[in-house]
Amino acid sequence: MSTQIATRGQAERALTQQIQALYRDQLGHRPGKITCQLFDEKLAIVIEDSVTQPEQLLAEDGNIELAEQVREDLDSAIRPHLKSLIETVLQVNVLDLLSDATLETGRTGMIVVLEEPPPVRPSTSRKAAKKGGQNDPKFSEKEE
Amino acid sequence: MTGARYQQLELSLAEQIQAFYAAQLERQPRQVTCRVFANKLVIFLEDGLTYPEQLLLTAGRVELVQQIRAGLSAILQPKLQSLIEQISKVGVAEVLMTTQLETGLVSISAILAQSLEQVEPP
Repeated sequence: MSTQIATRGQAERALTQQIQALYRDQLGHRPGKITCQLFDEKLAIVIEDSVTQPEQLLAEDGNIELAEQVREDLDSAIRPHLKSLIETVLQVNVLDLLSDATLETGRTGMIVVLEEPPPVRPSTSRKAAKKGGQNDPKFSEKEE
Repeated sequence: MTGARYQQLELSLAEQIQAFYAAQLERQPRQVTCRVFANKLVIFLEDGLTYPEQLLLTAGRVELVQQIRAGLSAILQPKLQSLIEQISKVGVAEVLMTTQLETGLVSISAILAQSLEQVEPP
C-alpha cells in the first residue's frame, strides 16, 4: 500500500517538530513556539525565542553588530539543513528561503517559496470523510 | 588552609562553575577540573564551545568565533570573579578566560588578592 498523503495540518506539525529538533541538534537551543503555515506554493514559518544564549549575551552587552553577524552566519549555516528538511517533509523543491531575525524579540520569520503546491490534503477532509463516508455495515444489514 | 579544605574548595568551584557556565551559555562542559594553589586557582572546562560556535567553526568562520569568544569572555569574567570570591571567601584580583578553539578546552585562571594560607577557617 502506498503512503497516505498527509493533511495540511499534519505536514505543518511535522515541519514544526523537525525544525525544533534541528535547532536542538545544530544550535543546542530549545526555541519557543514554532508556527508553520502552508498556503499554495508558499510556506511561512515563525519561530519564537530563536536566538541562542551566546547571541543574547552579546546583544545584551551592547555588542549588537557582532550578535547580528553571528545570527547572519548561523542562518546561512543552518539554511541547507532547513531546505532539505522542508523538501523531505513536503516532497517538493524549495526555490527560495528568505529569513530574518530580530535580536530584541528573539523572533525569526521565514518565507519559503516552493516549486509547486505540496501534495497535501486540506486539513478538513478527514472529518468530512468520516461524517459522510462509511456506514456501519451491521446497521445496513439490519435495515435490509 | 588544610589539604582537605583545598580539596573541598576545588570540588565546590568545579561544580558551581560548571553549573554557571551551562546556565549562561546553554553548554554543559563534559568535564571540569579545578586546582587551587596558595594565591591562584585554575579551572579547566572540557568541550566548552557552544553549539553555535562549533557550527560556525565547521563553516570555516574562525575569526568570527574568536570575536564571539572574546565578547563572551569579557561578559563572563566579572561574573566569574564574583562567583569565585563568593565560593572561596577570598578577594580575586584578576580572572582570565581563554579557549582553545581546536579542542574546545576553556581555561579560567584567577589571581587571588591574598594567599589562601592566610585565610582562617570559618
